[in-house]
Amino acid sequence: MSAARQQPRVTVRPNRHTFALGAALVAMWYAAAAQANGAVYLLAFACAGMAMLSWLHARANLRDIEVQAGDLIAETRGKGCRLPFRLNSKGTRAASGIEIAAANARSSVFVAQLEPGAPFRAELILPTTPSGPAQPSLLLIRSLYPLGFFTAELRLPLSRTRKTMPLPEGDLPLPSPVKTDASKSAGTVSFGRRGVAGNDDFAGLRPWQPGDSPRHIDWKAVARDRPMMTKQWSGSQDTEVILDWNSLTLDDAEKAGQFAKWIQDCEANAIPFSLVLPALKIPAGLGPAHARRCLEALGTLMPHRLPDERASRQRIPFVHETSALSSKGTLAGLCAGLALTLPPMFGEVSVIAMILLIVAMGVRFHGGRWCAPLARLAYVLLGGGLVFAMENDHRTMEAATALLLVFIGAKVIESRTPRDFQVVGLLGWFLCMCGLSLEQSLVWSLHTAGVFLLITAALARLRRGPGQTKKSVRAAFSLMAQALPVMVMLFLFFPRGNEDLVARLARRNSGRSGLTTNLDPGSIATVALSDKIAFRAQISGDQRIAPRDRYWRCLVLWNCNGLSWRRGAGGGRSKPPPPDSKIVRQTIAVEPHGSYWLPSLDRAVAVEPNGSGAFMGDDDTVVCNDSVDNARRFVVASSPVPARGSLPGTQRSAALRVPADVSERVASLARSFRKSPASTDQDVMTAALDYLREQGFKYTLEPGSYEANGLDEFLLSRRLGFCEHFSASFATLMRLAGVPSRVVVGYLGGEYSERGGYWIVRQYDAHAWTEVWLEETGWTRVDPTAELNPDRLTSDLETSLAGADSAQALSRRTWWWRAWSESRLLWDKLDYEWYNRVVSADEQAQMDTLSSLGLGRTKWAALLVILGAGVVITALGVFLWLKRTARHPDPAARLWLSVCRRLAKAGVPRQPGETATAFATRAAKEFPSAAVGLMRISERYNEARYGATHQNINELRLAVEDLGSRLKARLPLA
Amino acid sequence: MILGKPDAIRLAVACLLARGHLLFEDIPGVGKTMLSQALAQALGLQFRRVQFTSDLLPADILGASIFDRGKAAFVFHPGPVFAQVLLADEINRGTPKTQSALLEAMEEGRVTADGTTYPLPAPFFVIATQNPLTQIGTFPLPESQLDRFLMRLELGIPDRAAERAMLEGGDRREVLLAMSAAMDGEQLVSMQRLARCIHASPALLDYVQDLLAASRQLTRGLSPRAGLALLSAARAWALMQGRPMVIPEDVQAVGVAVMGHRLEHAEQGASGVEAAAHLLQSTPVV
Repeated sequence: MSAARQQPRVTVRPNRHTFALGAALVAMWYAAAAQANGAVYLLAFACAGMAMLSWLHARANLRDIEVQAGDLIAETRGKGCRLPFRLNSKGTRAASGIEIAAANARSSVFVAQLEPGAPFRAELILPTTPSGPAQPSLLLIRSLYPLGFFTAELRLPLSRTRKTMPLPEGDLPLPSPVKTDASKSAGTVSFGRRGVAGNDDFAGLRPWQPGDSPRHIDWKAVARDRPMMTKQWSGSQDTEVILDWNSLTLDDAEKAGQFAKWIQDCEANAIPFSLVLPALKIPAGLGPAHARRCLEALGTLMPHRLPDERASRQRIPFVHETSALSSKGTLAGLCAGLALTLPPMFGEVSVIAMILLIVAMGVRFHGGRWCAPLARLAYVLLGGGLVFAMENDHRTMEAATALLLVFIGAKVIESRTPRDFQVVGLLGWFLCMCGLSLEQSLVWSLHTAGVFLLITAALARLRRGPGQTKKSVRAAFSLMAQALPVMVMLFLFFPRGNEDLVARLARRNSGRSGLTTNLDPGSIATVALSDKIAFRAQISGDQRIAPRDRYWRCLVLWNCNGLSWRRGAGGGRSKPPPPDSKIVRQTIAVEPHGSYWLPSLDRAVAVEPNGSGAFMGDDDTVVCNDSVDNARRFVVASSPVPARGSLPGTQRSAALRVPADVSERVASLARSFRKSPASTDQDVMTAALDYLREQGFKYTLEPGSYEANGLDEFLLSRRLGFCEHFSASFATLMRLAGVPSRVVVGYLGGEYSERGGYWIVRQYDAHAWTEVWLEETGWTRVDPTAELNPDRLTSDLETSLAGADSAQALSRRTWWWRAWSESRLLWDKLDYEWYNRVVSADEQAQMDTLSSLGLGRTKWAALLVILGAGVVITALGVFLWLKRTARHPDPAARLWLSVCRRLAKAGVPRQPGETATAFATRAAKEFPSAAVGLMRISERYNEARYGATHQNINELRLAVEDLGSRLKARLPLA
Repeated sequence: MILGKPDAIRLAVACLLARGHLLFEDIPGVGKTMLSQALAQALGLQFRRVQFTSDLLPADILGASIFDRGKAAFVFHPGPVFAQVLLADEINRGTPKTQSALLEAMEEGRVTADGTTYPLPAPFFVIATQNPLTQIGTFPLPESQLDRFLMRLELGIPDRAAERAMLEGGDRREVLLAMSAAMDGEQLVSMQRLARCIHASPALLDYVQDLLAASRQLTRGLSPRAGLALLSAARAWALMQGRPMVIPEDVQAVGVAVMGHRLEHAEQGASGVEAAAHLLQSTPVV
């Protein structure tokens, strides 16, 4: 193969997937900024970091590739011509996913894996024009490995006009041999000639060919039912075949093909042949060199055409990228990734959309027989319409995600080519982001990270080709590990606080558990069935709160309607607490609940302004300026002591308003609490509590439902209730008795995490209590439930319902309960840390981190410089890592190679085939002072590497260490 | 005895130690036959010689069954192949049929004639000489037979000093007769056994395999038998160097002789020797 070895540089350029990735990254950034969601930021940075490093990997992948192109082989029957080439990897690592194309080739060749030392040979098919084969001026080696977001290219110019060889074809019989004139050919050197003419020896048999003389057929063998064979005599090789160009009347190309075939036949049968061309006569001969000479001479008669330089400047189409790929494995990986992005969205995004996506995958897997374009259109229209109709609010993220799922389904169905699969993979990354923006707890974040890796591995496998699953997974992991520093640096230094630039993304509010602004019989009991976390609160200074102070205030209700209470009007700002009162500062991280209230320890005094949007509302509560759609964190100060003062007239009248339909029995019951006109409000309150205590009221989670006249039924007959019944009826009784009162909804208690130093309040801690206005103490908290059931203050709901001596209470004392509870707290601590440090890491947190790093006062421009420098250093590290040659497994060989490197640096490089002794001898001549050392090293090395035992490695190491200083004293060459 | 060719002599001895057959290829008159005879003499082996011509028949080498009137039966008369060293002089002048008669003898150390198999004596060598193929009136050895020769050596024209010494010296035939054996067949067999025990480490086998793999990138590469031949020749060479293990140096020392004739048509435009030398030069060794 006549080779034009050239080593052009690898260029890596963006392709259409790069722009798609850019768009996806912007969208991810927008989602992260809009939600102030650190986890989404982290994912976006991971994508960005991996894409950036994949640029380096794409470069390294093609770096060691070496191409040799051979002569053109022209087919004469207009089928085209072939360009054979050989691909070799010079490096120590395999190259993956390589496509070889020529400027005007009809097809391209794809190599999934090119191992070093195992060259790959193939042919490109080029078109033939009437003026000869369309010679390519360029060979293009292209790869989208590892992730497909960058195209690495190696352009190999083929400027030289390549020799064209005719492809042997044609079915004319070989011209019959003629006897050569001995005197005429005496000077020629021919093969197998006997000096004495006519002394014919039998030289064997060969298969019969049409045209052989019947006298030479081995008829005895034919008579024994063997195939027709022709006898050959060594003397008959005194004959030769004359291949005369003018003897045929075909066109030139066909003639050349026929001649090439004849030459092949003559070579196979060892018949000497001579070639007579219009301008050239090649005397008879045999052997590969002779045949090649003849073929080359024939090649000059083939139509010629110069390489088309213009074609090389045109774009060479991605043939592999747009041709159907039948890799079930890649499809399965991508589909599994897509399907696994769904669980975090469960309960948020419409199940119909998820089912549609799964159905689409199923259709694709069964060959996609129903995926004619019309069917796809119908799928999109029907699915989209269905999802659109099912959603109430179309501007929410959930609705958008559901529609996205339907469209992804359509894309999955139509996916055929690597280009489609790449889009599906990118959409998978995007779905990971959607999942993270809907659900950021540690479990689901870890899940999403796993799915992200799975999709990345599927993308790598798409580029590597089938059967490379293990290596693809490894590639995804190593890419992720390399992108980790970039990710962390971007997370720490990338500017945040873009609230002004982006609008908050709307979220759907239904389907979440949590307190609502209404209090109806059974509403708290419903909430209390869930053990989801409502919020976590960290008390500054680690102040323990007494059980009777663990009231978390969320909402204050004014509008009384018997057993039901509504928000109503009447609230107002309280006076500031006395200056000497105790202030408890809390950092509260509240889980999304879709409403506007925020919890605080009873009672909030002030909110520290930060980006969370929390501010002080009426009646000592904290509210948010927006519905709490994603986790929020804010800092609030509370004072347990209520503010004193006088009750404004409007508030008093609102706090005494009673429903019109209160029955006379209840009204008289309320009046009976004021035993005498002189009784104070305090006395009335005590009397009412005494009534609840003495009349056998029961605290239960399942009091049954109360009808329209529930107040009468609860107070006078059934007497079974949960906290909302007690607080609602107590507050109503107080109003009927002329004492201003209101209902407060919130949480009571919570679990203290010793490990994390914070309180965990779950939905089952939901509670309702009352506040009455007393002249001496202002709005005073009265909890009728706690008066009736004091256990509720110190134990959780289930235990207090069952009683202190119940099986449940006893089980809480067993070791497995403690272990379970301990591990639950530990996990919660990790979850909380994840939330605090990553998910909720906003501009403020970023500032704090920078200050702790000593960069507190640095300007953003400087930070961007630091960020850039960090990213460049990481990229450099990865670049060097990719450049490294594979480490030799044998320690002795490593030592020897280090010596070779040192000598090469000193100007004496080792040749590839040079053995240790030979090289040491040669180097010793250059470094006479190190001669002894070098010889010793080569001896020890041979013993250590090729000897029966490996005991001499230490001697070799000593000898190598000893060499270092001696090399410096190099004598100048004579 | 043979002047100015120490490398060729060493290689020839290594070939015999590796229990391989030897092929000398050169123009007439450079001492091929002389070296063969001297080798046999020095090793103290029984020596027979067959001059190949175009009318030589297989029975002329292997022996023939002749009717014995006294016993009234066919009696096998062993041919010259029943010797410890068989010198097949100008082997390429024999017809392919006659050349093939040596195949079984060379590979398996036994001869089959008239359906009976006769074993050959214990050390059995074929030392063949041939003229280059460009000479008129020769039959090229079939590749199968070429592959059975462990080494092919080319002697070449001696340098001026050696030639002078030869011209000044006495008649070479007399020198040959005066030569005494350095060892006997028993010793040779034990040496051969020793050579097979020379340690070849995995690293060295890697190198040999690299060479084989590199040769297979050419049009026609080395056979697995060539790999075995290379290794056994390298072992013998290491033994001659007094080394307990084989190192790549040994492989390189015997490489051209072992691989040259096997790579004859491996690469277009290059002789087998050039191809083998290039292979040794370009295959990385660590």
